[in-house]
Amino acid sequence: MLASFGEDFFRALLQGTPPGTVYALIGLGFVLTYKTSGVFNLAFGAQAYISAAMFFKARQDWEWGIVPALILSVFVLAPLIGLTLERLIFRNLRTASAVSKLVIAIGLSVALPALFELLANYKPVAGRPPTGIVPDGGSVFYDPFGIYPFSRDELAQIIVAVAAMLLLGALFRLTAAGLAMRGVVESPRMTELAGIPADRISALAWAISSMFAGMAGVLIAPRLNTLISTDFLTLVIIAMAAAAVGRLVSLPRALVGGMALGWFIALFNTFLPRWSDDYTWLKPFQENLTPSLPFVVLFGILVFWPAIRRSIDAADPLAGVDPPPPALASATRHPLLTLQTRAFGVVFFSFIGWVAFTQADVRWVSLLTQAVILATIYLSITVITGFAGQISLCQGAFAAIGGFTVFQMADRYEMSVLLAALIGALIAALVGALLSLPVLRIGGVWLAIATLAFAFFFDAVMVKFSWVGGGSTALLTGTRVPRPVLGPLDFGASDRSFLALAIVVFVIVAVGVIQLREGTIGRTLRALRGSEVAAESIGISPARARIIAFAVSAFIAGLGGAMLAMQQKDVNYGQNFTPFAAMFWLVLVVSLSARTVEGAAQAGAAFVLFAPVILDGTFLTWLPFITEDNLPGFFPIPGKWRFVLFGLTAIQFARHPEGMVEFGKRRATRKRNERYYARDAERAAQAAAEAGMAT
Amino acid sequence: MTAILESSRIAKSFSGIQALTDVSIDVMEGERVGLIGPNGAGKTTFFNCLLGVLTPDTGTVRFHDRDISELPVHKRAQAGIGRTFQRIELFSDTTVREHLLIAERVHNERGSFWKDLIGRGRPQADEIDRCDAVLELLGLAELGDEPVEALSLGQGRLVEVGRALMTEPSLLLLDEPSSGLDREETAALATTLREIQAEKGFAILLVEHDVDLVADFTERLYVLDFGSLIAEGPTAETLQHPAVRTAYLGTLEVGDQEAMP
Amino acid sequence: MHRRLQGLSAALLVLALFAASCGNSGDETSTDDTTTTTTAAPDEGDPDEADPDEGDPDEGDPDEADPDEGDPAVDRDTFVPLEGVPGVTDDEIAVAVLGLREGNPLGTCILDCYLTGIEAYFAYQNSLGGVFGRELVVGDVFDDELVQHGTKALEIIADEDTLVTFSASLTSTGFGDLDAAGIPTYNWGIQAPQNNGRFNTFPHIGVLCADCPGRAVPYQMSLKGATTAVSLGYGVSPESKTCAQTNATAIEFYSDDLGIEVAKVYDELEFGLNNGIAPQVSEWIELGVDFVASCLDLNGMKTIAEELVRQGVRDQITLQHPNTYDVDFVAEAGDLFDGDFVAAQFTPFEYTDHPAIQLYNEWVSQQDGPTAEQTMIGWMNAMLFVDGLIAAGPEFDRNSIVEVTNTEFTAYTYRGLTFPIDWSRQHESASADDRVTHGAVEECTTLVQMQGGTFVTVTDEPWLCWPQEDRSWVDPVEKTFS
Repeated sequence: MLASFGEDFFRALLQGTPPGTVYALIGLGFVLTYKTSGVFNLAFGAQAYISAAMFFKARQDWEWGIVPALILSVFVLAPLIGLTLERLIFRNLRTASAVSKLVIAIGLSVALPALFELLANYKPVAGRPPTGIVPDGGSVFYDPFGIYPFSRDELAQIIVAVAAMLLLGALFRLTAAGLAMRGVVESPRMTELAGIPADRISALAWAISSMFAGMAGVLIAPRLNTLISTDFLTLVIIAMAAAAVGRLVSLPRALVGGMALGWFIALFNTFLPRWSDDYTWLKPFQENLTPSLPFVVLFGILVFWPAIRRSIDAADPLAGVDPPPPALASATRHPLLTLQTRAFGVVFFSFIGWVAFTQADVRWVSLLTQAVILATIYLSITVITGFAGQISLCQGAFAAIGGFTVFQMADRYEMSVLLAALIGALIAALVGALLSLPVLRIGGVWLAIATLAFAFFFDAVMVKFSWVGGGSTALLTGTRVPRPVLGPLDFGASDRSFLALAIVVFVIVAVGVIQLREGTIGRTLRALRGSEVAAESIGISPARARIIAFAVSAFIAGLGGAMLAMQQKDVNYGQNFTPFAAMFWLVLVVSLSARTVEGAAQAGAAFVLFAPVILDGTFLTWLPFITEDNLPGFFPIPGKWRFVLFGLTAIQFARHPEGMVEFGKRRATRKRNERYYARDAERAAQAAAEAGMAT
Repeated sequence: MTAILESSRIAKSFSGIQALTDVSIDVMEGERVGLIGPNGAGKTTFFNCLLGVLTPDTGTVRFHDRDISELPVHKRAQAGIGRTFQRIELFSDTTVREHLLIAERVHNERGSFWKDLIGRGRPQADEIDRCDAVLELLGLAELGDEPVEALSLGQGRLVEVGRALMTEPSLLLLDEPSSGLDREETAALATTLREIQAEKGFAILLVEHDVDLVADFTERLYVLDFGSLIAEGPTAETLQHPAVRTAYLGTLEVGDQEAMP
Repeated sequence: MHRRLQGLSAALLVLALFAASCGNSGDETSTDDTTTTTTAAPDEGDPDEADPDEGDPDEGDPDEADPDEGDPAVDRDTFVPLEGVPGVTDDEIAVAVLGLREGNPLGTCILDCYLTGIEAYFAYQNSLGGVFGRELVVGDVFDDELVQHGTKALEIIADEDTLVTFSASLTSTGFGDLDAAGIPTYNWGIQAPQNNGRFNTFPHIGVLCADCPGRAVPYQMSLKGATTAVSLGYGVSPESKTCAQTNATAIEFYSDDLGIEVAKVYDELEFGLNNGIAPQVSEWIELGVDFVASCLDLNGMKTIAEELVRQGVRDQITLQHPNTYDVDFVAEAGDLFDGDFVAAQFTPFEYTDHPAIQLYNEWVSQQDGPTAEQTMIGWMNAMLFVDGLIAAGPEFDRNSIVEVTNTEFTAYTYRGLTFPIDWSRQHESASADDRVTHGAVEECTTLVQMQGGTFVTVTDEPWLCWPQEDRSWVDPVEKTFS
């Protein structure tokens, strides 16, 4: 038996090596990018995908040889993309916060594949497997130990991963360029003062890390049956555990971490099923961990690894030289301007309201309702990100909790859905508070990743529980949700009445959020955001404040999720609340404005209405002479452009970290604002002069 | 005089480097105490141990005869220790008055989540009055509505002091308050601090580089070098202590001055 | 992004549904994958009768009086001007088609292939003079881009310019709205929960039962002489997971009769099998497994097959595919899947002698569009629509079409492309305890096997049928429907 255990153990290690190498490659890439640019590059997978897809297209469609295709996809296209990103985006972001960079990386992870697919006209096809860089890579096997064979592609992966680690390590330690790169990341200003051209170094760094991403993509692709970008994003998220082990700075550790992850999962899948046969109490663990193991590992590392807690965003010593972010536009706005803006707002929304309630058909009413409800959900992001300054990527899970609670309560107990919605929001708040406890000590990017790990865990494990989204009713008829009935009002009878209800809920939540912002909670969070140490020094407990923020944010998301489920008459988890949706939400809200109710509202409108109104050309049909039939030929614009534009939005955020809404407000009204203040000053001077003359 | 702060035998090491060895510093009620030492002596480390930012390897900190060694930072602040920062730490996106209001609200414990929701979270008249009184004391009365980003370093320091004052501390820890200020500003700061202290009665523990300020401002002095106390006592005497002179000035003989350019 | 990635969950859902139907080939509500689930066709009366429709006493049964044959009893040419019937003018009857094209996480051809089938059938019907003096046309085609299905459904409802809706996608948000609006929605019935209990929606094969153990998988094992099986499902999708459990139940149920057993159930596999399936396959070897019942998608099956090759046991283990009735996919795979079984949800293309298949081939080959299994689904959906339209009479509207279909089509076989479906009962799902009330009269399945990159038939006649109520083991009866 013991010999058998040893053999099984060793075989599991061998079996875990190919997936482990994939994670190692991605982990290395992560660390590389972080070391050389300070960016937590979630778009690494997208870059890898693009090179893989280009290689695939060159080999399959254009029938190029391996070497030319490799040169094109890894040594030409990849660095080109990297240099473009550096030049257009990240050069100006060097002193931005790590979370800003994270937001942009998320936007890019969506936009880049879409852009590539549009420009290169690439479509994934089921069953056409990508080939690797070695001839017959997938069909020739070597079995050095006589236990488990490896394919040529897999051996190539291992060799490249180890070689890359050694070469890159040498680069950083031994070459001037490498040292310069590290310097640029830590303090661009200081390196410039030392005479190093930070821009050029930064460009070189991006070129190198992008080439590595491309190489990783081409190596990984043969493992996938169909080449689709979503698979790369999933792999990236799983491999983050590897990068976490390397604390984002150690290449060897990232390599080992990735391999270890692969080994661990293989060991888990080898032994736990057997043990749970013998010890049935293990079964629930085995069942629930199997699909979610990487996320649990990631979360565990982030929460329990002490080294992570030491902040990785070590401040640039010269950061104080940066000008501070400007205050909210509303704070410095002349009262007359405020009045004008409010008046305009009233007119505008009255018009929209009139249109919505009298002219719009069932589709537009539904779209508007969704926009309002999503704006409500986005207010949760306003609280946790705008006020508390924390990036939470699991708002989708909180919203889903609200939706599923309504489904379960209505299904099992025939409870009123409005009451169930409140209960769902409370449950979400509780989950949010509990989740915040372990992640309180880690901030910034790692907190974001921890929430992402939770979101994936929820998605992989909890959604199917019979008291969440599973159970026999769900199996038979799905997760249908009735509309609320409030006394004589039946919101199922009229979609318009439900729109009104949604607006009421949004307004209540918005008012609550504003009250919080102006009250103790908001000010406390503002203090924490401004300087955590200073806040502590006046007696603010960061832990308590953050727990409250998480709980409130989760409550709002849960309430919004319940409303959305009611609007669609189904929870529709897969469409509404997945981790990817949540990432999308975050980038959208932060890019527009995370700090204001307005930003949340605009983000809701943008998310829902952008495609039908803009991409389909509908906005043109509102003009007098244009109808659906005589729209210019390029309408409707393919949906993929939505993602490209989404990426651009995220990039604009780079230029205007206060949010585009704020930027727009300021710019649009600056002249007028100045004029009003000038006029006031004139009048005051005049009055003073007159008073002076009178005496 | 009673000791309000008693720290005894504080020791701290980082990765094999002993940053502090057996440091014991006391502060009496209403005193002005200074802590000086050359760069790298461990002053900031000690400060951080006092405040709870770092956990010392050994030693205890007692405040008002209560062992606060296990308390987290914010609880020590609530117990009555206020501080300012060497690298100024102001809350962005606020005006000067708002800055103080936050501290005031935290201190008077009137705020709550539920009150916020019903609109009772906004600053109240008496809170504003208290803040204005402190601003007056600091000479910042006219700057009440200015965003903190618009302030000079000296004014910012004063705001930090004001913020700390709102929590009604019995001990104020000042971390290199003259850092970045010129002579005039430093002198003005010292004057203001003396006035406020006279008014409010708290003790001050001052970590400083500027020996002139220390000589002028503090009553008692501790001197740190390489993590250990090399001298302590009344300020004037301690500054004359040979060990102190050596630590700061090296072993330069008086006669060598002419050889210097 | 969220659209594509939601594919993860959505695809799983779908796949799971597929898988689920696969496992229960016996019940009419086969929760098998959409690819093809040939579930038992309930035989109306005499199991010996070759053509169950001939003895059908039902009046108005479209199979009895074939509207295509120009039978004078069936009127399909009378023109009556109609007002206020959406999508109907004096010249045309327009339909809406809603499906998945962009953002398909599986990379398969859905909307465009589906459309080919509908257009082919319409071309055929228009060649017979159209229906009630009007030409059948596809009005609007909507790409739901995976996440817009609900919104596009609302657009269809709002536009009011099409008579009925055809849908083939991995998601079915919006079926509730279409049903509530009374719009007949013919669809690729992989989403049983969305079709369940909705009397205006017509999944091509009736509403499938998610957890009814069937006889198809045990039968396949007996064909191969396999004895030890494992059952696979994705953990993240409740349908896939349930399907895996149901398959296992089915095998255990007949273990004495057939000498088969389940070694292990893996209902928690991760979607995409990112970490490979190597440890599991090693375990199968140790357990002496020779059959794999699966509720996974086609990509997952490929990963498994490749791992079997790698560990040198491809020849010893037979795979049962719920979802791989995809000619292109299988061709690309070469002989990787040789000997494996695939369930189909209609009379397989390989029965080239069957008149319904011949008709299909004749008309689909004249279309330009791409073809796949979806094309047959489109063809079938269109057929049910047209038959219902004709049966409704010249003064038809949406409601009358649904009415007549749900009252009179009680043994509908799509001209023999499926076992008889009773639309008066099969808008709701059967359950494991009650197979009869909402189940097909007989439990039928159809099978093909893979050989050298193509599919081959297993039995002479396409359908294998068992009695529905009596669950004890008997050998199936081979049948051809017409």
